[in-house]
Amino acid sequence: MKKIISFLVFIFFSLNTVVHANPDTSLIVGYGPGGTDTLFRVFAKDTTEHGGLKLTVENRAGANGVLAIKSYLQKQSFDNEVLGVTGGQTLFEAITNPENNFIEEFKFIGPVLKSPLALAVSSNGSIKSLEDLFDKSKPRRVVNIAVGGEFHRALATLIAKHSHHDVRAVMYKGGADANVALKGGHVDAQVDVYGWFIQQEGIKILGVAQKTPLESAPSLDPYIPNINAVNFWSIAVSKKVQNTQKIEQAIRQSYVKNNRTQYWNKLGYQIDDNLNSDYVQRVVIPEYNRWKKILVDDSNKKK
Amino acid sequence: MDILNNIVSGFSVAVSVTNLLWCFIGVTMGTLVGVLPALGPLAAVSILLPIVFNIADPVTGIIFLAGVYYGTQYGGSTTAILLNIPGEISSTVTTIDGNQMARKGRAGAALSIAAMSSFFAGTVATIIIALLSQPLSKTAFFFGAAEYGALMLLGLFAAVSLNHGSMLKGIAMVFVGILLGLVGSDVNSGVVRFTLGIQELTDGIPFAILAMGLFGLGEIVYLLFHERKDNKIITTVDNLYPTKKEMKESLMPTLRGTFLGSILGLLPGGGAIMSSFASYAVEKKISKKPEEFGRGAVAGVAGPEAANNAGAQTSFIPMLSLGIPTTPTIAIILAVLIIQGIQPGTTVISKHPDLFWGLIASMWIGNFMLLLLNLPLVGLWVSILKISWKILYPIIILICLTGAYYINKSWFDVLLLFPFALLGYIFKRLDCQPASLIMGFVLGALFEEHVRRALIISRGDWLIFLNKPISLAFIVVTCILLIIGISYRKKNQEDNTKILKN
Repeated sequence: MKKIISFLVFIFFSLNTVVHANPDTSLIVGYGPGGTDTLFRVFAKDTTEHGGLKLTVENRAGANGVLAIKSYLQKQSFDNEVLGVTGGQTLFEAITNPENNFIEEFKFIGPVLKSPLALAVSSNGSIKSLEDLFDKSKPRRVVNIAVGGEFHRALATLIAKHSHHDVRAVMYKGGADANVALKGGHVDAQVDVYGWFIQQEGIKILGVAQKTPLESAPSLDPYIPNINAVNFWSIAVSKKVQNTQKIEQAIRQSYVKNNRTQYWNKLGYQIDDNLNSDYVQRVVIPEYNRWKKILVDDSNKKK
Repeated sequence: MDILNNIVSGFSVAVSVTNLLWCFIGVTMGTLVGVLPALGPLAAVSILLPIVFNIADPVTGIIFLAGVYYGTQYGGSTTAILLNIPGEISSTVTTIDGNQMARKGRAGAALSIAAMSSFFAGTVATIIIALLSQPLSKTAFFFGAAEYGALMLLGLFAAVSLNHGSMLKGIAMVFVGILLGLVGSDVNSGVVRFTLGIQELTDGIPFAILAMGLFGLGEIVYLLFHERKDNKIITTVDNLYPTKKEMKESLMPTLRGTFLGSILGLLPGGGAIMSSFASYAVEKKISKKPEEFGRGAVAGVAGPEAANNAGAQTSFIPMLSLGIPTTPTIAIILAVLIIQGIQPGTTVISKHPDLFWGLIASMWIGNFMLLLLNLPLVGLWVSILKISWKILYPIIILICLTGAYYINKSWFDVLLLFPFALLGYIFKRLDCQPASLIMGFVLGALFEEHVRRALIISRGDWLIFLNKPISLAFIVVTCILLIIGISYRKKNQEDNTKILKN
């Protein structure tokens, strides 16, 4: 009996050691597995294979990414941990819950992946073009737009504002669920990032939420003036961390060696590697202020 | 003929030495991780994911991950039967009768029945995937918010039947579960509710914490207050393997469970998690001896286990043929395919026949390996129950605490275990079944989410639930079940009154 007990205890502690073992460096992603973390898993794979730094993605879901950022920033020591940041969610959390505004507390140390939000419809749906949605001569109808997050909902709100139809955003738990509803004909359109849409079959991208049209999708700008809704992802560290050269170098080296720019472009993402360590000041904060103006000031005016 | 050729070519991919080896490693690691409480398929696949990137061939990587996935399902059942701790939602039902069988000295039989019905269901589901993946893949599209809302309503009614004995207690437990499921962010508006200002509860109460607290720790607290005379959880172990009678009793539930699981596994948005619950409810409803359920009924183990495994397997159909993940675990496997440069969708069968047919063949091989792995291990697992509880229970507490911490690397989750342990103790004293609560917890939140979404789509018109044929069918079935339930209860009361009078 003692042998069996010893064996089981041994098995348990061995497994626990394997399961809870600390990797070289953890890339903390504030969302559940299978969604946003996919992009960071590619980052981690590249850095591990080509940058000489073993990065392991850890999902710490909760409160729209806030729990991961909070627990990371509250640390006294930042050994072996970097943060995977999703711009859209971070900005919207900061706007809707000002106590969760952590934008100025970290700096970006990896290239920034960007993709504009887009509006797509089912290939055999009733909406065929942007005119169907915005042309005021068309009879008024009910339009449901599936969205998988708060940033997506913001674009749907803008579309509703500029369309004369009865447009509503219908929230789903992520883009995949929203896409099933679109393909099943339960909603009329869907908002998600362009990079995600171009991997899907059976849909048509009607427009992208940026001034410049893309090869396969026109801009929403003629219908929603000055539209610019671009989501972005990068690796960040707390500003309190001084020595980040080693990890920065590993991440950059992995990109140079692996030539991932083409890979990402093919998937509908652009890479901005001109960080100059001031990306937050130069891009993120102005974006935050712009969206705050659109969302908060507009709703205050209405009140 | 084409399919036969494809299956043969699939087996030629799956039986290569490398693929067989990785399949074996996958199912073994999956079983071992699945045995640990709190670690279900999602955690197992996430933990073992980095290994995939070290495997050169993407087909081998996916075979490995699929092995981990269904290996964890097997492992989860072992913990549910032996220790009354469900590792994941789908094995919650197995705790009801599986653990009761274990306590009656039939742990070996329960484990063997679970393994055999899982193997049978896995085999049937593999054949379904091979023959019908294309036509079945579109099933997911028939289900919108209204259909899911009606399905969840049916599930909530079925949840009441998980409680043996008082129906009132069953309803009360489902309601408590629904209330606990309301904690967190409202999916439709994003508004945070009932969190008492605790940010860790923004995404709701983690399922694993609730399950470990109510089932595992609740049981231990009960033991502390009601000290056992004997020193062990079970004192006798009858035959390690099922008797002929038990095998016979498990046959039809396994078939029905396989059918239900295969259908529900195709549905994203909460369909798959209902499979084991639905199977249990059906078995109890059609059984000639419903009073045996909750007290160690063989059908209460065979049906849900078959449904669970069949659902896990058929959930690959929408992922492979349409690129739709039906569960979070499948979503990770989908992400791995994309990272490896394979775009799942309608063309995956023609573009990557080695992946599609190789995976299908490996599923059957993996299930067979699991059977071979699990049946000889039954004796070892059962011997755990012979260990003095004074040694075993501290180990279980330790496993639960480390598991709870691991989920979100949060001390709050560890602390959250204790109020639920107390609640589990109270429920046990009151003879209430926590499985009904778990069902209310899971389905209540989904019911609210889908119903509100349907009402947004219809602009507040409740007729949306009656205008859609599938939704209408579920509502009709729910009404019929309700009427049968009430009339059965009334008849029972009348019979009891007559007996008392006589």
